[in-house]
Amino acid sequence: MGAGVRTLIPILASDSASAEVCSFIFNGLLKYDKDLKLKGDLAESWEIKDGGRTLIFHLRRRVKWQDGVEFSAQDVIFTYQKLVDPRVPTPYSGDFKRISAIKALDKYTVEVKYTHPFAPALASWTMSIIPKHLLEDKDLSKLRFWENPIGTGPYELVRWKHQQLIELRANKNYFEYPPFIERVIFRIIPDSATLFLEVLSQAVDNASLTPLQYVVNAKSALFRKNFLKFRLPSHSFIYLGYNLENPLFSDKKVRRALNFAVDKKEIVKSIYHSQALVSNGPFTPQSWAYSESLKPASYSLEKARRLLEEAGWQDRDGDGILEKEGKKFRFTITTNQGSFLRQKIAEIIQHQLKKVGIGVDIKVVEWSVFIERVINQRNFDAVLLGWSLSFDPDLYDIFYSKKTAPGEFNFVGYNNPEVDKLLLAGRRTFDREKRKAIYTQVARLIYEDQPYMFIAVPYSLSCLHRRFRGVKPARSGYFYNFIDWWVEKQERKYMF
Amino acid sequence: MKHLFRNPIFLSGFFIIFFIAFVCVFAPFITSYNPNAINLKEALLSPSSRHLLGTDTLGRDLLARLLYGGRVSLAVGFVAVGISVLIGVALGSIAGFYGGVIDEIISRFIDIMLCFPSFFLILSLVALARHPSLYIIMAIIGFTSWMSPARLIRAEILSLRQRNFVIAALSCGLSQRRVIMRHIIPNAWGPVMVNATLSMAVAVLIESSLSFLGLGVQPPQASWGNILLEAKECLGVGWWMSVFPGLAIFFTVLGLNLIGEGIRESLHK
Amino acid sequence: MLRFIIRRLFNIVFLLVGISLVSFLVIHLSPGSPLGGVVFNPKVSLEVKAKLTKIYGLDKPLIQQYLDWLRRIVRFDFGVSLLDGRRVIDKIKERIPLTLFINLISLFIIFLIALPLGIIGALKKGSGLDRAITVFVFVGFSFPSFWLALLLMQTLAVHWQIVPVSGLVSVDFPYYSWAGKVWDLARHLVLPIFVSTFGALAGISRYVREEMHTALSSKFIILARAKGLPQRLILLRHALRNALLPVITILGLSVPGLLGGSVIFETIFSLPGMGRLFYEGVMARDYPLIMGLLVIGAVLTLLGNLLADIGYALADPRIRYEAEEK
Repeated sequence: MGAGVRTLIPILASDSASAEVCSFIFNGLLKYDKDLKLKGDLAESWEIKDGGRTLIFHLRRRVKWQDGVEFSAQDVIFTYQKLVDPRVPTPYSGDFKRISAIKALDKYTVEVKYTHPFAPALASWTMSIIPKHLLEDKDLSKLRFWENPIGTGPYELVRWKHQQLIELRANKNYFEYPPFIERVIFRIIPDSATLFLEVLSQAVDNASLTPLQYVVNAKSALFRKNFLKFRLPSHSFIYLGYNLENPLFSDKKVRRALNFAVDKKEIVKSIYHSQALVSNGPFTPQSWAYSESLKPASYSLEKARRLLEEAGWQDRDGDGILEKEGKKFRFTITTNQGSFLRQKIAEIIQHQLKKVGIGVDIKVVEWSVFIERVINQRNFDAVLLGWSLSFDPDLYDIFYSKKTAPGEFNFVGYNNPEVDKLLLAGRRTFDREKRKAIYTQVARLIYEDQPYMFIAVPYSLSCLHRRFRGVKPARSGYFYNFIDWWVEKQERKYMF
Repeated sequence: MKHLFRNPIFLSGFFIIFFIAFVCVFAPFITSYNPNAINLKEALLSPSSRHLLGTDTLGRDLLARLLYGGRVSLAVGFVAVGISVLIGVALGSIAGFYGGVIDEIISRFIDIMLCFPSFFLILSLVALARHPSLYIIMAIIGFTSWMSPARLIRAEILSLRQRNFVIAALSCGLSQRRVIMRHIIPNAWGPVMVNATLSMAVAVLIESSLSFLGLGVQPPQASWGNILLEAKECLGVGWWMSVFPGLAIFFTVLGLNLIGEGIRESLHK
Repeated sequence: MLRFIIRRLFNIVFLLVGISLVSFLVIHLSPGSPLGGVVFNPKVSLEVKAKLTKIYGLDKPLIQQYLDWLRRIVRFDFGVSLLDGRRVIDKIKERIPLTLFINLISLFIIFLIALPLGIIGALKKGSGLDRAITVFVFVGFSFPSFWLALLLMQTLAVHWQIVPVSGLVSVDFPYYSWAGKVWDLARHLVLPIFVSTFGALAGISRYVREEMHTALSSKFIILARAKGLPQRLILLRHALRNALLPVITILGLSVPGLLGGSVIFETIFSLPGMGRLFYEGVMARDYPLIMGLLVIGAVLTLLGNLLADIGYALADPRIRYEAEEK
């Protein structure tokens, strides 16, 4: 992995590296199965009552924390209390604030009440549960680092060398059954080129790949002999978000024109080396809310030019840049530093918009400056970014018209009363078919309005050493059955 | 000067730098390609008669990018060193000439600045800058490397002040400023030049290191450093992407070092 | 001697205050916030963000923040890292040994190679051999270190698989025998040490050459020659001793350069040292960490200079007198 693990307290883990390691050590009440359906984890079963206002979880019995203490309903309640405690710096409190009451009906039953029916509630309980008996008297606002995390999961921590590696050992008492693979080691290699060289020298068994590495190294015999490549659909999409308060973009026609003028297929082909799909809106094919019926607009310079002309943009002085009322059509795309692919995409958009007479400047800004100055202060014309969404299709945070305060996520200032109504309805509906219909409508309206130019849904690309057996890729990836993997004796490499 | 042009070390450095600067300045006459023109159909081509040094991931001609990028890299080195020499000479001569409290303050400030590992300082300033543009990078490198010219000038002035011709000039009633500008600085110029060429070499390396860490000159503008950064992403795919810019940096730094060394040698003669 | 030491100590305190002020200003006058990396996730609500700001005390006035910080660093308490909540001093402490270890080995090798190169250069000044050495050390200096590192990794580590690509030790290191551990560590350090050594040969060998040349042309050597002392004796007893004294000071002066260089090669070779910690801190806008590292880096520099001064003073009594008379 690239970045170092920051914390192994799951409710504080806001970065993907920490979350990944935590998922080996901890369990939630629920988890996603190989087909991305919710399935019991620490909870054996659950009930939804009062039209969605009450959830009852029946917990698994005889589950032990890795230190031998028994897991119970009190741990669930403790986890909730910490999640909503204002002194605990957790980024995940949002969904849990909607809970009006939580109580243990008995040692193995938890009842959660919500003020309103809240559809994403169930999914929020995939949050890892932390042990009350170990963390009760600790101040989580100070103790963000926990040297000896104890979970209920299939692996337990052996050593944690900061910025070097984390070693995990199979939990012999895991409640399902002990995993076959005895040790898991996460190495932290910050430089992507170094990481790739490590893969080639077989010092790393599993790593993510860039599209170029994925495509070109298919050809290298050494790589093919030793590695399996995986291409999995991801939950993220790349988009160009417009500042809708900027007069340049207030006209829907202009935004639609830009959408016609950028050849997304070309981007997918050249930047992603075809390891991505053209995006058709805010849902990815991986989501159950995704609708095949929405087709992305096809590339057409002609339509783009016509729409721009209808909107009043013309090149009157013949300098190759359109004007309207004496103002030139020129804007800046801002993107974050550290993403090679996004910078390249920005350069292609710049190149393609020039053909319809739109001048683009590119600004690349370091991540935290980007958030603070660019996004939060809405100090941009257009931003090139990606969203990585959760499994639940709730888009309230991103597109609801009132979520526009600094630090909130509708930073483009999207406002469509109809979408607002549908988003609220979507949160209160539990029936999946009905919800899907709502979100299909949401996606259609948003694609029509084009607050974002939806660009691409990149695949997540990775490789895995061939010595692992029992790997069965599915919709949710290939790590879901990790505890069933094994390595033949003669292929074991490390002496433990 | 005569010494200088007979010194083989200086000469070889001079020719290297002259050649590189020449082709970069006259880039439009050497290649007809636009360094930023994207041609996705010709992405990642190996060197051929059509593209002498091949193309990059967006199908841009590498030779064109190297030549135009060279302008940026050389400019960063040149301007950054200009800034540092300017600040250094100003502060150093004030400290050296006036002495006393002023000297004490300036010298202490130099001491403080010298305690910082300069790459630490540059890195934080660049990363914290609002928009790390070309000019900001030049300024930051300049503002963090003026200490050694300042020290050189100060030391030189302290020793020159004791020399007869300066004492004579002062006692003739010439103004202090005039003495500094007319007599002292020209005499201190040699060591400062040596220092400046070496710092320029260091500045070119710093620019490329910053780009390597993703903090340098921003795309689509080419610099040798960020061409190398791109090359890193296609490791094992396009050797030409990393070999040519690497060599360009290498020869520039080498050439500047040789020039500095040559000047040093001829000063000692 | 006592006055000399007191003067130095006073000077150091003064420098420390200056350093802390400069680094504090540098970081706090810049945009961006330490919360940047944390909050770009649609599930993080606005209240959460306000909550984080309050916990970290970022809403207090700047002067207050500086004074609070200064009061604490006197006790080596640099506060808590905004990233993982660990104490900054602990994070630095676990990173310093590796950086110092690698740099000391590099320094040792550099001296081992640069010294003879410099002496030969001085003895045969102007000859073809001298020129060849000059070009050789400048070639080392001129390689962009990350480029050289990548080329070496590609050929030695991937193609020929002689050495590991990166990292400090193998993942199963704790289970090796004692000798196995040493061998493993050595294999991992070959490339990084080569890269940092090759680049630094130029500075020191040129310096030795200069000093040696000055010593050789000084009056007492000429006198020794005139007395007919054997060449080897002149070289070792007199010239080298005089030439080596100034080289001691280079030791102190090379500390900041080496620390700076660590950023690059620790990142590329995935070595968990101070340089990489610094880079991580800068990228994440981890204020307490950056300030802690800047201060520690500067303190190490001061320490290096002090050691060099003391070494110099011990070796050459003249220095002490001068300092006292000043």
